[in-house]
Amino acid sequence: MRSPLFARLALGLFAIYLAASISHAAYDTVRNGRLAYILRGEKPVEERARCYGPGYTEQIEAIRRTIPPDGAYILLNSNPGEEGGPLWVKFDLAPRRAVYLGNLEDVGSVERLKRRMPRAARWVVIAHGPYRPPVLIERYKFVQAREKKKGA
Amino acid sequence: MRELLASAGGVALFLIPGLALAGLFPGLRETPWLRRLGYAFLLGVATLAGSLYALSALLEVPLRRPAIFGTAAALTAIGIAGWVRALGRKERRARRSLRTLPAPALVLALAGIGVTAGVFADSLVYPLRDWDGRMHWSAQARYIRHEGSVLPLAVVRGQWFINHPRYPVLMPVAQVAVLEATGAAEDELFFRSLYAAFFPALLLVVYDGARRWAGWLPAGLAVAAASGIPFLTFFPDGGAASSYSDLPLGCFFGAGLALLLRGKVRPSDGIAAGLLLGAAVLTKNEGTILAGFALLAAVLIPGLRWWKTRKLPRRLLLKGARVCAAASVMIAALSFFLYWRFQIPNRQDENYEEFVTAEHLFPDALTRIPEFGSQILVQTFLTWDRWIGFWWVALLVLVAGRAILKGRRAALSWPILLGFAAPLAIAWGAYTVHWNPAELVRVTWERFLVQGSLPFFLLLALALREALATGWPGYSKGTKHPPSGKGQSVSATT
Repeated sequence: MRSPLFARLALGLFAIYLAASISHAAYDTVRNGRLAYILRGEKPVEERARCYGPGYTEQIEAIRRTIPPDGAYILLNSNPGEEGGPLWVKFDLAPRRAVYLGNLEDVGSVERLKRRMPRAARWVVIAHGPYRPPVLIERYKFVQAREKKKGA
Repeated sequence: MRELLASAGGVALFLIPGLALAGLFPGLRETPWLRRLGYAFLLGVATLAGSLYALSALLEVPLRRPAIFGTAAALTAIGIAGWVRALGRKERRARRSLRTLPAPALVLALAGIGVTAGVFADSLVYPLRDWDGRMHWSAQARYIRHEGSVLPLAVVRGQWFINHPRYPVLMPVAQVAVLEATGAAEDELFFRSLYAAFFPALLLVVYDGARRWAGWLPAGLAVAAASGIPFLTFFPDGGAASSYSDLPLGCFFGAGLALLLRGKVRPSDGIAAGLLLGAAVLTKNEGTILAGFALLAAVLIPGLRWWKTRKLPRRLLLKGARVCAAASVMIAALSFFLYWRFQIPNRQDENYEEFVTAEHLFPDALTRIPEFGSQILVQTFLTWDRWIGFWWVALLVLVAGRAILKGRRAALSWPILLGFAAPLAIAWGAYTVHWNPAELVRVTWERFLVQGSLPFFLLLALALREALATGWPGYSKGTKHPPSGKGQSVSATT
């Protein structure tokens, strides 16, 4: 059965949806357009600092200067509740290759850690969670610190 | 200004070869120019990125400027040859002027254009903020760009940390093409506009299909409805403003399906559809299944007719030839993808191939629905910030226009419905075998809806037309074709 009343009701609600959704989209469009005008000429590093935070961006820049683009590093996560942290660091440091050893607290014994660290990776990067500045440590210093911790 | 020009250049890199290549296919040549832009952009990404992907994997051609511009120029030249041949034959082409569009259609079109501008502006204002883009797609692009190869060391050697290393990389290759062509520095993400361009491409293909099958008003309304959905536009985890591959996949799959369902049957259009479906295969893992569904949808009604009558009239043969042409290109893309993939050791991946077995699927496909069904309903109907109640009104319109599933319109509506159901069927399978389906629903369900969005908006346009004709019987008098299709076959409306 085709009901004209039901069809009109459906189309009426559809019209309300269009009004609401297009206004919402128009608001976003105007906001983005305004931002694009205000922020014209902004450099990529400034854009990233605005969105990710200056501390995080500066630290990523410092790590990029230390590890060459064809270099490799060991990635650890100090914040097990946050999966995003190491992923964003890995993206921001690409094409530098990463070996992910998981959570810092789960790396295990120093011997096991040494076995899992590839020779090509001279640095260790510890991610502390999304947009918190990662820490860069030289590999041998990281191993020494773990040995000291074990000794203590 | 440099960012604006480079972003526009990134889109033009694909649009120009695509516009030229449209000249090879009579169905696209005859499509009015504005609507052709959508197919042309998709065809450009499919062929240019697809060719670079194959050249790098098969012949180890470095993905640098000479290869990128050379391939784009070669594709453009091939396409121009098609146009020249068509001009030589004095082929008649449809000429449509914007001035002939009714005022309400222009208003609805302006809504789409306005939102498109907002999405482009988003790509200029923000760096990447999305999850999958940074976890996988754009990270892959950085490794590929660094070595100029689709098989970089970081991917082919199993020790390096790569999420989903065996996912197809058509979109990362497209990113690399834009970055190399524009000489972008490390953090200049000029490829963002490429992703944003998939949104107007979606709108144009929806408008083209809906205009053919439902008329200008339902087509305009469907486009306006799509323009207002945040999840398709500004949402940073899956919309056109992100670098997720779901919208590109939805466009390739939906546009391929729309070409295969066109009423005027030309086997050569099957090749264009095959190129788009091949791109779907090379965009995401589920693209292969979606492309298979598109072929199935295209043979559904002709197959049923043949089964009933056991006769093979010429038109049915032509439809079969069109699907075969599409299937052959798609199979070539799939073979290439498998060749590329076998060179990459798997890690950091769900590895669904191992889970999807008959014993995992049955009876779990039914018994596990309570584990994820409620989460699906919540995310579909109760996420105002992402859909603004779209699915409520869409459901009502579909119920009001349900007559499209009967009579002559059924020959078109059922295949389109099958197209929309395809990604949902994949989702159902994935949730059935996954160890934590509720969590998987939370992060993937709406993206499956995006993958099926193009067929859904076509279906919505058909239902809108039916609802308009039911609610206002005078409406059908003002349209070219009767709403129920009585006395008018679907093919004649295309």
